[in-house]
Amino acid sequence: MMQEDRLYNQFKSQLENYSPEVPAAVYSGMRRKLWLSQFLKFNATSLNVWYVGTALMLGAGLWLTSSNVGATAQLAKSHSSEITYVPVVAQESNGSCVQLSSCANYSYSCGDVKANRMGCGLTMMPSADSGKGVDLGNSSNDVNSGMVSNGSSQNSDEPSFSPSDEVVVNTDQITNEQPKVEAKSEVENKQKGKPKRTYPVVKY
Amino acid sequence: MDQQKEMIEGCVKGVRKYQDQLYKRFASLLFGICLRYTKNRMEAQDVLQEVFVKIYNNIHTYHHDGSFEGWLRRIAVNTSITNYRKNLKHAYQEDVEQAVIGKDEPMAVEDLEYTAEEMMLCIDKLPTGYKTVFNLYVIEGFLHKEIADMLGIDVNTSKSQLSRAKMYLQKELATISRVKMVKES
Repeated sequence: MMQEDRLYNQFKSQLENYSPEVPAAVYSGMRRKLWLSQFLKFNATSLNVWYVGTALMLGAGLWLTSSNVGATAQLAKSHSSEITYVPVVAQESNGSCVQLSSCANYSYSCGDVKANRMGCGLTMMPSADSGKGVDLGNSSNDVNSGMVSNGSSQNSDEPSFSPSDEVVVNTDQITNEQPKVEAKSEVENKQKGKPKRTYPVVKY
Repeated sequence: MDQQKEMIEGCVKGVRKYQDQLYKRFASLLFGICLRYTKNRMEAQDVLQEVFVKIYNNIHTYHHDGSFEGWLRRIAVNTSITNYRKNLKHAYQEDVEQAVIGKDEPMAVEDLEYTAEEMMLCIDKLPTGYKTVFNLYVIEGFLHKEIADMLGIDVNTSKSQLSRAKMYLQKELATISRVKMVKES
């Protein structure tokens, strides 16, 4: 027992305050670990993972929002440039001329009525084989660019159109969006509460 | 004493100057504790880093109502034990392997003085389980019941491990004594 106590005392006295030299690398490693532990812990006064995470989330949210807005704008822009409105002019039974589509860059004549409109680019060209048809023009800025022509217009700047004429459309120049536009015009007409009208047959 | 209080308060505020001061003052002592509980210096260095991270993160919980050094020692010991328990599976395999060596008849310890390095060499050769129980009982002064609770072992296991550690150390010290005597002669 005495020997045991002596052994224990020897160890205790020698090792209780044993202080070997600490390698220098320990300090830098400790600093790294300390920084990481403090970074992962929320602290209102210092930069930490919570602030970084919030900033990233906000940034991602803003980016997503702006990219959605941009994509929508781009889509709208591309659609507006791709869609070709087809103006269809018809004469009702009482003799008045009616524009059935929303195109706004054309001039036409219907009976005694002549009009100039501007606003959209058109792609319809006069039919080459029939010699008469619809010339819808292709310049959105050209107010007087002709769009409806029966081939015997009184003025080259103001092509005339007669309701009795057969409207021929050059299908090579027509884009796929045309049916959508016509549907749109129909919807607009419905919204305005106008009755259904009959108009010349359009051949595509 | 006032200097120590100022240092502690600086550490609570996270002032780097005071943190460095604390490190310079206690790193060696705490490294010695970590070395006693770990298998090698590399592991002891890792544990020491964790000890200081814990100290800096929890220094606000120290209320100057006891020995600051004792508080630091306790953190070092607890961190070392946590590290030991983390590697318990591996340590157990080592214990079984080393226990066979420990069954040798212990030799009487000569009435010689040993340096701290020599004693550390002896302790380093102990299996981790024996080493931990020996350190906690002999140097830290815990009871077997407390050791059993801390390590999650039976009280009798703690006692038997201490007994084996003692036999092992006696044998090692006897070897060192013989080498010393040969050198002297």
